[in-house]
Amino acid sequence: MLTIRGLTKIYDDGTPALRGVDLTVARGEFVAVVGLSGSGKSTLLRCINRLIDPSAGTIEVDGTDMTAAQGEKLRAARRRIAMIFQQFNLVPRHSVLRNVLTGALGNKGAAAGVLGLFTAAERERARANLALVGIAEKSAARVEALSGGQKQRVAIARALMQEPVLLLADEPVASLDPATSHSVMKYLAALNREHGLTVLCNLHFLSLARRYGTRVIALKDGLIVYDGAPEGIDETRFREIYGEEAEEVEIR
Amino acid sequence: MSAAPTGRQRLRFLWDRLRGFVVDWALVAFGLLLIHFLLAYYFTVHVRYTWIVWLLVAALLAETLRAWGASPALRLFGKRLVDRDNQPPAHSRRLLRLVTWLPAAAVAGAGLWTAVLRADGLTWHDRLSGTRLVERPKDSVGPPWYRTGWGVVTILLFVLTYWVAALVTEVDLGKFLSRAATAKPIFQGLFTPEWSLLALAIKNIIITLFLALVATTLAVPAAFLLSFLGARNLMTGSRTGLAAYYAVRTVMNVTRSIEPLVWAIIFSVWVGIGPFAGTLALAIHSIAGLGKLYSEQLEAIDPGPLEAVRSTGARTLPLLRWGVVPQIVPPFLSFTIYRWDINVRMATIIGLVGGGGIGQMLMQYQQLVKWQAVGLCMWLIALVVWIMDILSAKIRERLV
Repeated sequence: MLTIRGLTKIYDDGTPALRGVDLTVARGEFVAVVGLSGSGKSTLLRCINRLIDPSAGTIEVDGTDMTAAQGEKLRAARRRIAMIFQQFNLVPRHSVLRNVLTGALGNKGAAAGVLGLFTAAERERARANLALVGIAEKSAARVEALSGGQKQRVAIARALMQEPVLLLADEPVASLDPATSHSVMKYLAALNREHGLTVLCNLHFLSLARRYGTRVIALKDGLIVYDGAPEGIDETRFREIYGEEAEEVEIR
Repeated sequence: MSAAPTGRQRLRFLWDRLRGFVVDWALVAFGLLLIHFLLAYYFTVHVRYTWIVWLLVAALLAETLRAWGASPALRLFGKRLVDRDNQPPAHSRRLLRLVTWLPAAAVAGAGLWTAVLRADGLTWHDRLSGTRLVERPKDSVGPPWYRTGWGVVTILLFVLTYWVAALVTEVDLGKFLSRAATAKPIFQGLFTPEWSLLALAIKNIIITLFLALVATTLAVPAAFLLSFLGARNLMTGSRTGLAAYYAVRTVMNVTRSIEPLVWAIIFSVWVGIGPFAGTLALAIHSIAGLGKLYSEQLEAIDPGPLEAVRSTGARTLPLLRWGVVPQIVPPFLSFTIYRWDINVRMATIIGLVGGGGIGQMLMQYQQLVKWQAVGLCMWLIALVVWIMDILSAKIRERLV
């Protein structure tokens, strides 16, 4: 469902972020992407929905060639790939419901989109999605009044508005405390298991990747250095990915 | 040594050096100009020269400073001169560098472009004198700056600048102190306001306040729309976008640099003397002023929410509405109120050239040499500006 061939990204200042990444993800997988900061994790995710334009290589999502898509076709393709972020990227002063509804903007014309004319059906769906991540009662609250974990769940509900086939999660728990991290990860895992949502999730902590991923990919200097089962990463592999000096930190 | 630099890197380094040279050249030329002025002022010596000769002398002096490592630009752009052993070159080598620089630069810079073509990235005079410019190590600790060559040159330029500045502006403390008495009647008038004109003055200051309000209100929607076109981060997507960005920025900068006073004169001819001319003048100036502030705010937005909305597949306008607008509403409101505050103050000035309101009244009485009436206007303006200042500060405090 996701096929990446020879993906390369060199930034304008000459920094090579990805140096030929090949990756195939099947429907229903929960792929955890690990690696040091600057290893290319974020760039990889952003190339998939074309927030960043790749320098070379091809990306195919569910039959659509993402690298060639432009204009209307690119928008249509993006609609089926939802994304959540480390910093949540919600509007703090808006209500939870309003934030969730913005996930439906991809289906709207320019005028309806600008004016925020959402249909009753969309509101219903937004409430259902909030219930799915366990914060139905917060729909009228302002986002700025929520805790970090709740904010990320709002972001997940917003992502679900796109009815995505693929969810990209860029360090979704990196700014949360360990307990909250697990609660957010559990929601992602449940969506993956129970609703068949394919997830590609960047993670700092290997322990989280081991626990929630059905498959782990490790990036180092823009190349995939490990691709396989979560249990397959032993001490040697770990040092390969994180460097000789690294020591594993458990997050429980 | 690391690997030989690529052509692109060599071009970049040459550009870096060229830029440094031009800065030094401009500084030396400026210094010569100042010296010329002082000679003419104190000794009535008029040095005769043509511009070309003068610029060439400046170039030669600049390169001399560079050869001896005493140029401000070498410091500014983090360069230093070394010989083949990476040591500070001997004086003979520095002189050789200067002498060989002449032909290298003379033939339309032919000797300089070889730096891009040759693998070692050296120019004629680099090779002939066995010296070259290298990046100064970032952590190098030299003598204190005022004991270095560039430090002395910089101090010299500062001293010359202020010396000439004082002469040009005819600063004269004696005059300031000894002739205070001549302004006495004006001060007396200002401090005994003509209260019988109070009703008229209040009517006029209300005109001024409305003038500022209308001008600000007219400016806001125009500035709002233009600011999106003038925000670099939003416009770099395409060639058309970038062209629009430069066009809008240029027009706004030009508009802003034309004083509201000048706009008022233009419009008082266009629509006739009165408050409408003043309103238009302030509106135009506010569009440019607010447009710039708004654009800068737009350039400072967090790209995160923009990414989030873009990844939903939203169209451009909804993208701006939901990814950008929520971030900019509070600062935009704050700027707008501040602008209104500025416009009230400016509206009085605009009145001086026929823009209506309290300023125009003040001007009329000033021309009649009625200092007591002028005093009344002055105190009223001071009061209103003071109140506006407090109000706008209070409101902005709440918003940000």
